[in-house]
Amino acid sequence: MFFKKGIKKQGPSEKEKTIESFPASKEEVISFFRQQFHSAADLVIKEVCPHLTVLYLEPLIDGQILREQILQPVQNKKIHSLEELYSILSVGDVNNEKDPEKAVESLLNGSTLLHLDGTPRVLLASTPQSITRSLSTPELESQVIGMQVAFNECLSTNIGLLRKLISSTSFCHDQLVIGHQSKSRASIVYLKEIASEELVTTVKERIQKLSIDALIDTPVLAELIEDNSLSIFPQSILTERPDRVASQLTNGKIAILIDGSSHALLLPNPLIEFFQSKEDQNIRWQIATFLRLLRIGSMVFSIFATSFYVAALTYHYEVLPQPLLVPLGESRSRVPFPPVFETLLLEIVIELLREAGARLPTKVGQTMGIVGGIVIGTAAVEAGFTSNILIIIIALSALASFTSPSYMLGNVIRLLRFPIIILAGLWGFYGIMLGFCFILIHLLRQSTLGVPYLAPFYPPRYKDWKDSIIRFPAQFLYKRPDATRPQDSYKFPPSDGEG
Amino acid sequence: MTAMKINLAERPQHSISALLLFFILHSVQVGVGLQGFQRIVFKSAGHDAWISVLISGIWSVIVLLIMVKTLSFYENTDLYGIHFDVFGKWIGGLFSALYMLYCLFAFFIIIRNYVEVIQAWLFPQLDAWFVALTLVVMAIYTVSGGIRVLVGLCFFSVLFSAWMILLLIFPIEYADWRSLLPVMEANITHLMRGAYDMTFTIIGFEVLYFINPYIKEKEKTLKFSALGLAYTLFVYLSVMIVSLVYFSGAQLENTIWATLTLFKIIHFPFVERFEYLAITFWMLIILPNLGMYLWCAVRGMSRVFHRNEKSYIYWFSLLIIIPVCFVKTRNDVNTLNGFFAKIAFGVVFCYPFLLFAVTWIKKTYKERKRRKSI
Amino acid sequence: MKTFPLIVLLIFSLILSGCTEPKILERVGLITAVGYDDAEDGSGKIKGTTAVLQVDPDALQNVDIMTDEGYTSKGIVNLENLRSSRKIRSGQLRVALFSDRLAKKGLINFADSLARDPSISEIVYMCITEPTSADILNHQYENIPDIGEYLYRLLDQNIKNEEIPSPTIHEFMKGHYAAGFDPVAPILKRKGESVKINGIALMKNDKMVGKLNTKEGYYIKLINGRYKGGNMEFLLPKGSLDPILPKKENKGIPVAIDTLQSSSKIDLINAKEKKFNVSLKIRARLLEIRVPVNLDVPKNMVFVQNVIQNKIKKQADDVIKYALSKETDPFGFGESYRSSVRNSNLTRDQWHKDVSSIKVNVDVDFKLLRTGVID
Repeated sequence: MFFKKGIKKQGPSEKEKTIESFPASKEEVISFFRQQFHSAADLVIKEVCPHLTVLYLEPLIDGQILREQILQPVQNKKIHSLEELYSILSVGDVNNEKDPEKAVESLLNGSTLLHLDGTPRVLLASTPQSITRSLSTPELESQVIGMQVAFNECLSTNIGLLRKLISSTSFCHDQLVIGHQSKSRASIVYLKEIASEELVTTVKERIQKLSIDALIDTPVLAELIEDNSLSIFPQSILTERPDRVASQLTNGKIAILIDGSSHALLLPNPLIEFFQSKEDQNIRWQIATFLRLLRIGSMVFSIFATSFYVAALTYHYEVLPQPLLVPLGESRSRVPFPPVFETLLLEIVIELLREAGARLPTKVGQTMGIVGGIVIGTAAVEAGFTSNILIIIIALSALASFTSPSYMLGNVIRLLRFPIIILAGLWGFYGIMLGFCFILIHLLRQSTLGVPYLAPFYPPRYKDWKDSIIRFPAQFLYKRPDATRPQDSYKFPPSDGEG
Repeated sequence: MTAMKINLAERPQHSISALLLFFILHSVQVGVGLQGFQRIVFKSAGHDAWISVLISGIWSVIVLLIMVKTLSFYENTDLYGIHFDVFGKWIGGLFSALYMLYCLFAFFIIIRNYVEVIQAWLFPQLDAWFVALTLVVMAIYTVSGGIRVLVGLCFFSVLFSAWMILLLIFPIEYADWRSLLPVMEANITHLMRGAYDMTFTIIGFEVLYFINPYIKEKEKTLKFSALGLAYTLFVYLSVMIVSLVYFSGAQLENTIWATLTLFKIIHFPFVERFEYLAITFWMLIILPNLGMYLWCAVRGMSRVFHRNEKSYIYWFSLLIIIPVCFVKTRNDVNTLNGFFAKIAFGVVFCYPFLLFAVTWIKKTYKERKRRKSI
Repeated sequence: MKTFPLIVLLIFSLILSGCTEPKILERVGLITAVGYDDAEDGSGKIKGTTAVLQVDPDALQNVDIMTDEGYTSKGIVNLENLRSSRKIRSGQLRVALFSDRLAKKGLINFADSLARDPSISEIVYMCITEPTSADILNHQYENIPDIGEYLYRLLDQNIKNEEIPSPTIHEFMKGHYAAGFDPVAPILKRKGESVKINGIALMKNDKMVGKLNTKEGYYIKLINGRYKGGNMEFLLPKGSLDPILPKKENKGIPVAIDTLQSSSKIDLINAKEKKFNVSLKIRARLLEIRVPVNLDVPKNMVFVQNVIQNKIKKQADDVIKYALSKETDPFGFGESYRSSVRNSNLTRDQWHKDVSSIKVNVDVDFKLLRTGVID
């Protein structure tokens, strides 16, 4: 079963009044559109010359195109037929439309509707204005070396960015419309002859099966089409970097972009890729390998360090070496709570600081992080609320959780700490191990687009280990990862001998 | 009871590569037995106990060979299919049911031994049923995920616990290698007796009977299974030899969990008393055993009795927790272990030969009949 | 979903019922050293003295010394609990002391109780004290804030530097149960404001039967092959270096060497007569020699070497003779015998009977490799 969610498929919502074809008369047409847009102050209806009515949604169209290419040519002319009108207009994309519903749709997409009194058809001139901002540098996934451009909210710009990076005819771009209210355009991008057709079909099927009313951003889509959205682990990666998307497309992945969202979604995405940054490919392989190992190490540290502290101090004082015993005991001696409460308290303080910092403007946020951290930390130790050793451990594990290149996974790591701390507080090392085993089995049960979540480690694909927690020099990475089930397994012929 | 299919046609996404057999068999073999097999073998074979370990390891490979041969008579089947084919519906069903009982018994024994260790070393006050329940919940979570998850757990269990063998370097510091000499002082009866005592520790590879239909490349089965057994043997041998040189004879006899005692002297600058970590880490080592035995038993319910697998995962597991609460003392556990070892010896080390013989006779008989008819 | 409330119920019942007794670090008193003596009234009770670490930055002293009398070592801990604000636990025990009077009666019951308790480490050092353990633990030392830690570091440092054989509880139990060798333990004695390792106690099974000074203690390690290197000092007999000296010495000549390499091999030459040959191979450098000898001349160097070699041989002979006369075998001759004679079925008691009659020959191969940076 590809689609596990219990979302019932709903029929398209009933319109109050549907009509088969266009009314011919001017008055009828105007009243029809007024009825369709229940209340639309921005709907402009003008009679520019006798019999010719122009309709458009003002914020969506480009005023200049309208003036220069539609209004000026028809000015003071007598037009008798649509064909004549068609020949006059200098707008590139003009459609002759009979279906009133489609006409409404086009209006919503920024077209200008021209109606000639007495004709049961309309002309739709495409005059959209792109509501967007200029391209900026990536904020969330900033890199020292690499492309300094991030996606913005305009779908065509984003596709353009990708097309620029992959100038190939095998670049496929399918568009679907999601949400019967929002009518969001979603683009599915992949490379023909590389991406697995089965996976592409699966993605399309899952998107088409959705019957939600509105889709505003990609993370929502991610949650809706993932294999198991109940899991805490994200199964698809969100990225704002065109270069990352482009390089993953060449690995056989599928990207989904939505108009209005500045993040692309990459599928399928095994766990290991959350530890990889695009930058790893831009720096020397030794350093990239070291950084990847560091990230994985810091994840393990981040999840288990504080719970280890709790377990050792609550149940297993035997494991502490003599030199640590006295400093630990002294720092703990004035704390009135058991270690598990102390730790939970401090973890929550850290989370508060982080959350408050994220909500405040950058400069205030930074100050708050530093001041809050130092002031609260020092005061808490002096008041005897926490031990200073714990502060070090917590600060380190918080720091470690921010090394994750994926913001999503960083959040997961921080949240996973809490249940494990509680388990450690209840049953010491045994509790930690329960948590560890549970996470392991849970990860084994997950899949991303039907691909095992722990690929390439399990099922073992040794050749793909070359670009997993380690990174081999580029000339050895001639193979596409099996996890994406590529049609063509080789990026380039393997070179024998060293390059 | 309707007739069952002897050969299974497994869907391709369920099949696993033969390489994983290495991990499966090794992880199912290594379990609670490893924590304290030394003294049992030592009592029989003295300081030549390591030879007994070697004998039992070789014996296990021979049995494996027979198992693979038996399975190779069929296209793609498991033990339940063979039982049905060879012994018919009723007797075969009875045998299958007995084998399922054996699997559940193994499941129970593993849990009870681990509970014993947790209670003796970590938390004397912790209730047995509580530990059992947590383990069973983990096993249920694994098995309900299907064979892919189960094999994955085996894989990671081996991968994540492989470093533990390096810990044996620490006790070697206290070693007296003369303890191993003179070699072969024990007579052959004692050595065999010691090898027999290894049963409890070395079993686990019988799950090949059940995992067989899922293996992709059947021709590599023997190679990777044998490698798995060889790795197990290597682990057992190293642990046994280090124990023999680390402890003195009578001391080893008095040490119930010699492997854990070995870990007692390990200390790092940041953590001492490594056995506390090792014991809890052992959970990862026994979970594949629990999962695999539970899965084998549950598999029987669907293969032999055509029941829904899912619900029996819960029933069987809950069934096991109850007896865990009734076995209370160390003596009871020892008696049970001895009893189980006897059964396991029959089931794992003797029965495959019988099964092979019967299957072989049946196949040749059929073959002859077929030829005559041509 | 119906299963959800069930899962919540399960989790809560687990948390409520599965709670175990916490041992929070700062709320327990940690025994770091324990000493046992005979009770003075002769009632058969044991007097236990424990150094309990109670971490408290406000207190003047972190260590409480408590003494109680009881019949079992665990019983003593229970008595101490009665006057401690924190539950006393023994998981951080590092040093166990026994008075020599107790040691002469046998220590196995104590060692057994230490080894049986899973919370107690295998590397607890077992030491014999003179005259009593209470004397060492009870004293208020000027410069030692934590006597437990101090004793541990004292022993640890000396073991690491190969000054004394390692006396962990594991090695004690190993020696006790082994047929062919016996454990040893260092002897501690208070000297004013510090504690000194005063010698090595020879044990027969678990009973102390003899005593060597620390210098002689080297030879135990040297012979059983556990010696890696360390400083040694000899007093060469007077006149022994005269041929190479400008003028005669009429005192013993002190020499200090630093062993770089050493190995030992015990061979059973004759199984019937139980004749052993010990070959010691020592490579050392000269650290100090208190006479004006010209070591530039190779002949002189060889001479010094031979004199030291003879000295080592003589001392080794003496130590072996002494130990064997006490019917104890800390060197492992028995193990050598057991491992080279098939079906010897050697038992502990049998070997202790035989050991005083075995014959041991010691061969020493001693070489001075260098003499420091000057000649």
